[in-house]
Amino acid sequence: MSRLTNGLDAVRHRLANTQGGYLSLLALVVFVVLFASIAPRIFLTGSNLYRVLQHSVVTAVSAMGLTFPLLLGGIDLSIGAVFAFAGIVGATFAVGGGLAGMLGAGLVVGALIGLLNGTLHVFLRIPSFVVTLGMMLMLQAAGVLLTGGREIILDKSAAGLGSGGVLIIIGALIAAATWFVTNNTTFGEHLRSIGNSEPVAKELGVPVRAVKILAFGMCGLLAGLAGLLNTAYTHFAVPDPNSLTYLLSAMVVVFLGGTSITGSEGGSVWGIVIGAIAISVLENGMVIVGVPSLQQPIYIGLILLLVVSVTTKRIALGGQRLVIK
Amino acid sequence: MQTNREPAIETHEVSKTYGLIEAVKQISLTVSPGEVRGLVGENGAGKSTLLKMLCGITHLDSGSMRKGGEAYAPHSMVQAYASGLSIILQEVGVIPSLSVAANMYLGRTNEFVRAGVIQKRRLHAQVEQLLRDFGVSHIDPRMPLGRLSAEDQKFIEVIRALAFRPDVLLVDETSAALPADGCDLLFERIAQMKSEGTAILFVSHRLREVLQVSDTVSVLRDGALVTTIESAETDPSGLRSLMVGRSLSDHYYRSDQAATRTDSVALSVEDLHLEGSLNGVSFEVHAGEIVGIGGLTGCGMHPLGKAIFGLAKRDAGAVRIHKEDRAIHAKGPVSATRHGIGYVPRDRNTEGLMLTSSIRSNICLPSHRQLQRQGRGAILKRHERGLSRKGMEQLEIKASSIEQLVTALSGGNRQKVALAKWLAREELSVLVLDCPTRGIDVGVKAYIYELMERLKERALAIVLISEELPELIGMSDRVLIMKDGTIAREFSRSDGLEEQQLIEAMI
Repeated sequence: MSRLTNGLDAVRHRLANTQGGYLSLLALVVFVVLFASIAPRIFLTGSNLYRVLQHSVVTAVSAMGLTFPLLLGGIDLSIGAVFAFAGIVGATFAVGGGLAGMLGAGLVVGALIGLLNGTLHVFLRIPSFVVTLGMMLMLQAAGVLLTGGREIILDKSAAGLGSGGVLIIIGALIAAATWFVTNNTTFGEHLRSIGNSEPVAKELGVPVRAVKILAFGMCGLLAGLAGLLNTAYTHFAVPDPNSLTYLLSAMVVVFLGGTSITGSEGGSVWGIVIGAIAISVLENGMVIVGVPSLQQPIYIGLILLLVVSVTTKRIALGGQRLVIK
Repeated sequence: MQTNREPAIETHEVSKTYGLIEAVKQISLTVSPGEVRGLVGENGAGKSTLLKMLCGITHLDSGSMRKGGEAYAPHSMVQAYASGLSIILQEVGVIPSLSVAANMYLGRTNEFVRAGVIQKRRLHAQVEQLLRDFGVSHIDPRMPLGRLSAEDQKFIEVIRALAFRPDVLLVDETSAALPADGCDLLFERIAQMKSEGTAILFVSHRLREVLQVSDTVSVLRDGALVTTIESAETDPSGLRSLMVGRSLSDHYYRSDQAATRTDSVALSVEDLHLEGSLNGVSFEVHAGEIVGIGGLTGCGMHPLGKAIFGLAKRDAGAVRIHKEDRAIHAKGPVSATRHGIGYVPRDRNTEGLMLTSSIRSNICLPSHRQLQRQGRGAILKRHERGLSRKGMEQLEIKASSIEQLVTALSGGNRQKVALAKWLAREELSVLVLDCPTRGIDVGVKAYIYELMERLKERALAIVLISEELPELIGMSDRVLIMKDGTIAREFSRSDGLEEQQLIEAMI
């Protein structure tokens, strides 16, 4: 056991000195090489790779949303449920409302749920994982009640959102915006300050409550957007389309990208983009190779554990600052 | 100092009460421009509360403050900054994951932000220039602050406080964490700012340093101002008696001048290696012996303490505890604890204590095995209470009850809890103390020295790692001076042992 811990420590030690994001690159290379060698004829085709890229946008967008609460030391477990719920609401409003109706309704719902998460977290002083866990359950049930458990086929008027390059362009825009907001604004600095220490942030004049609420709002908004993109891409919305699996993928991507589960550190956008493509390759590859869909979450879960175990700094674990200098 | 200008900062009968405790009682202080005022007092005397009032973190219950002749009532640190006050706080106030440049401007409105967007290029250029002005060229403003060495981080904090040309500067205990050249820089700048008319309030436990830096010294006791005197008219022992309210006896350190110990070895450290800090350290400690360990920053004495207790992973070497002719190899903290080693780390707040737990939980933690035996397998609340009450009485910990959270205690009482948890153990035979009196007021300090003497009489083996030479000389039977991760010289307790001899061995 101690040999294992020592090995892990060595890996963490090395990772602690990199900017983060290299892990996603490593994962991408590993998955591409793996599936390219098992099923080159199917995997390595232009249309499949294009599909992988399109698919990665959906995960990347919600992973970028998740970055906000993570940076301030919280977490949003409801993103999978928001994703599904926004999809349902969007698809409902697309009938008659078209693309604008879908986007308007879906985004507003996502953002509102996020803001509500943040507000409950701040004013009731409940840990964010509890608030968002509760929200997840409520949204899943609401989704089923709203649709009667049936899937909604997306109205043709709104399907353009998911076609071809549109998805990728949206993904790129969101990535650029997230990068800008987390790195070049006072909001980004405030997030990291809170993640580092809330009392210190307060003393430095950070409007802690507002920043927190806004962060969860951003997360909800982007989870909602991801849900809409997915609905447009697949042409239908389902209540609870494996919303837990969905949350898992987003978490794997964020951690692959070097964001710390203990707050403040990381938030590398390119790490998330590459990580999302890597996970997309994995999901696509598993389908091609014929891994039963019910089995797939096992692998995603395993990778989540692996990634968090090598990226979490031991400072946070054991307080042994001596080794990492 | 005679000036006809308005006082730079002035408090008028300010008071603050926390619950039943009057932290600050009607203190009136006046500091003139160009004056360096020392502020001393035991822990809990009200120094930090007073500072917090001045920088807007704590609000006054009554009284008023004036700054440069105008009414001054900051609601936050941000407002205090904006009005031309700077503060160097003890060990807080930075965000490691943000860049050096961002940290420079934390809590200040800065001209590089437009509508929430930071103009990074201009900011970085500005900070680079600022660093260069302070003679620092090896730090990149874009680097996350957390990647810098601890000393460089502290350096940045000092520069941050000085860079904005404050007219009032508060310095809180900073020198304790600064490297020597950082201290020099700070003192140099203090002298310069003084000549430019900045008022400086300097808080430290190092009385000699306070006297050296300040023109005048204000002494606080139990929340009230005792007196303000000219630095030239007093000395450290004079200050000390003002702080405590009685003159301390000469029995501050041990009174006996000869090294004593029993014949039996209690702990042997054999050829300890630790990557980057220890290169083969061997020594023995006898029962009833105090072995002092000293050296310059980076000599390896703090890692040595961790390595003895097994917290730091040793690359080679062994630590053995001797018990009735058996030598037990203590591999890690678990076996070290079980076989009777206690370790009080240098940073009690982050390593030595569970701050948000009760005194009872803290004291009982290392004794769970013992409590289990007592309760035949179960840890019973009444046994826990008994053990912790005994510890609290033994060490005279001042708290409302054993259920009080450690975070509510003053520094000195916290340290007593950190000691009590080891002394509660029946098996304790070796105690490793890393800077046990760091940041602690005189009263508790004297108490800890007295306690060490009592423990020595009880045949405990004590390893005293310390940055204070008088403490090493005053308490140890032997002093080992470390240099570059090895023991450079050994001194025996004797009448004539001087600080100068130790310093020569360190360099």
